[in-house]
Amino acid sequence: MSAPLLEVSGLTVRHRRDLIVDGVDLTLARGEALGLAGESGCGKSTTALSLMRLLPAALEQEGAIVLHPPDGGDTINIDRRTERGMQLVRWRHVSLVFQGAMNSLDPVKRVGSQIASAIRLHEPKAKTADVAARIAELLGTVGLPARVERAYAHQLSGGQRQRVMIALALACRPSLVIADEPTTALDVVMQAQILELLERLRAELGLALILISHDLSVLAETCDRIAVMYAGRIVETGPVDAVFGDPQHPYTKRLLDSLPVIGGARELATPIPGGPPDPAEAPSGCSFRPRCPYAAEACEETPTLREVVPGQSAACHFAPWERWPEPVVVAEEPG
Amino acid sequence: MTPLMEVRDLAVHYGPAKALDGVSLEWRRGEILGIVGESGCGKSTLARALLGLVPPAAGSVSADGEELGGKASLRTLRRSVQMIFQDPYQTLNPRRRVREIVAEPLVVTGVVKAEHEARVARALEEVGMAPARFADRYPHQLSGGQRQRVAIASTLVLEPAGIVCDEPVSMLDVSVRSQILHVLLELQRARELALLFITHDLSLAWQLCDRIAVMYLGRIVEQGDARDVIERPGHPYTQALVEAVPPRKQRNALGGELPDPAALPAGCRFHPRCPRRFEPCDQVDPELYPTGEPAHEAACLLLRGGSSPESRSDIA
Repeated sequence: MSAPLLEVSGLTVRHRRDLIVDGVDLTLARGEALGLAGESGCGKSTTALSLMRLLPAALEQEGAIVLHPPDGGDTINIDRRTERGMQLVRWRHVSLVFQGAMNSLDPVKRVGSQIASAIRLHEPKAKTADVAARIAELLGTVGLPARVERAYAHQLSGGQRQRVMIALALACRPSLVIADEPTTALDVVMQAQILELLERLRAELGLALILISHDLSVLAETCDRIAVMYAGRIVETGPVDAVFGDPQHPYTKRLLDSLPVIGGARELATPIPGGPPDPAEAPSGCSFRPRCPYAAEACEETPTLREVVPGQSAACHFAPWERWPEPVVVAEEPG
Repeated sequence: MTPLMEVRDLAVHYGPAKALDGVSLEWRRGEILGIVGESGCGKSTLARALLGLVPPAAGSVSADGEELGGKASLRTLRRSVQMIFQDPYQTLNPRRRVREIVAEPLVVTGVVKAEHEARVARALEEVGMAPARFADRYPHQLSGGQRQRVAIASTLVLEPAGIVCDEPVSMLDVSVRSQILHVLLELQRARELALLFITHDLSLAWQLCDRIAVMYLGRIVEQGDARDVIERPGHPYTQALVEAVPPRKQRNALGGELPDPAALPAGCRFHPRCPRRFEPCDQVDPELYPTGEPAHEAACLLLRGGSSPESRSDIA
């Protein structure tokens, strides 16, 4: 692997006594795209916010987050920075494209002036003409016509707003963009356009990407590696083809089986019973145990994430999957 | 056999916007019909028009062979055709218990009270919600999937012949999604229900639907057997939709966005975005032409009589 850009170890987020994120380790190389997959409440968005140190005050985070700027600058210990110190990191080194671009733009400021504020945050002395040129360049980069600069958010379509959000994220030339469900509110055609844009930006700007989505097929298309989260933990991680082609955790396997695929089976697969667990009522041992058709006595003990085939890790006592016991029917409350 | 519902040359206008513009469609008994398209294509308006919730500007809607008009026909319709919505968080009355929510259609239609409890219990069981466990809960005590199950149960108590499902699983978690789809499919089989499945997700339509109608800017641009339409789309728009479903092998997303339905393009309304447009497309508004497969038709001039597939690719 090429030089690491981001190293996260033992990331834990607590809300009072509940564990929202439970010991997440992540490594990201320069220019790499990592997909963070999972259902609602699994901790994927909380992980994103904690990487930016943007968690609400009620949540406490622990664990090391180290960024190695690719321009050769000093190593940045994100977890130890003060709020003031973080302001120098956000948008300049790491940007976040939030879920729901509809609500993240200022409704009473023109698009151009919002991008200008982002630029001036880090380059307060920039000349007006330089800022204007940079805005025009950014809009061009994300495939928007120059006139969008004069527009207000309500005059734009959902896809255009998402492009503006991406332009904002790029305003200070970060080396890492975290995109939280960037296409979830969009139709498939617009989704395809935005994904193509993200891919082009990676290629042209050497951008690293953490893409967060509940939609595994979006991640399959866009990412190099993937990490599947369940109840605050990473339960499986590896190269995207390996995880999708040969999942080693029963949760990943069942999720993939339930995805409809054009040209694939026109019958519904056996669904995963029950619903994602509430962090306040997380089961002991393996948190997928109550929904898992392979659960056995061993699962009362929490499995650690370990490499089960070269390059691919899973948090399951029975991985690799050749060792899964016979499945049984699980009686769970309807999800 | 008379279709469950039928629309003929239906138009619905919202001010200057033509939300539906000349739609003709049959929804047959017992079939799962998919209505597919991007937001703004008119698919939800079509659903509302079928239920008599928006007045047509032109054309007709009929149920069981009878044209909808007066209050009496709407009342009959609402017993035989029900609807569930996308957002299970917004459609249930938060101050009512599950048993009351599910019983409400019985109250509204004047079914004798003695029957309520048994019918509510049966409907809840059919959607996998044990009455003893769930009947006394409030919506906030339920998960998203459980709420959608309650919404389905409340359509079942009137023993409908069809349910219109407007993006019923798009707001649910992946693992819960397939549970709800299972519930709907089992009901469809057991009760010979007709389902009208509105979705922007073609892969879902592939998995569930018998037939598909693809909509673009207030029109049906293609319809036919689900497998034919998705495997051999006759309209370039359908083809673009199929190709946009992730994970994609090629990168060739359709450019542009849906035009304003108040300022429709002249000629074929898809021509400004169409990768295969040719000379007459900005002048001639295409009707639905046969694609060559049984009951499969598409509104594209490439299919107009005389142009063979070979000459088509030359033009494109």
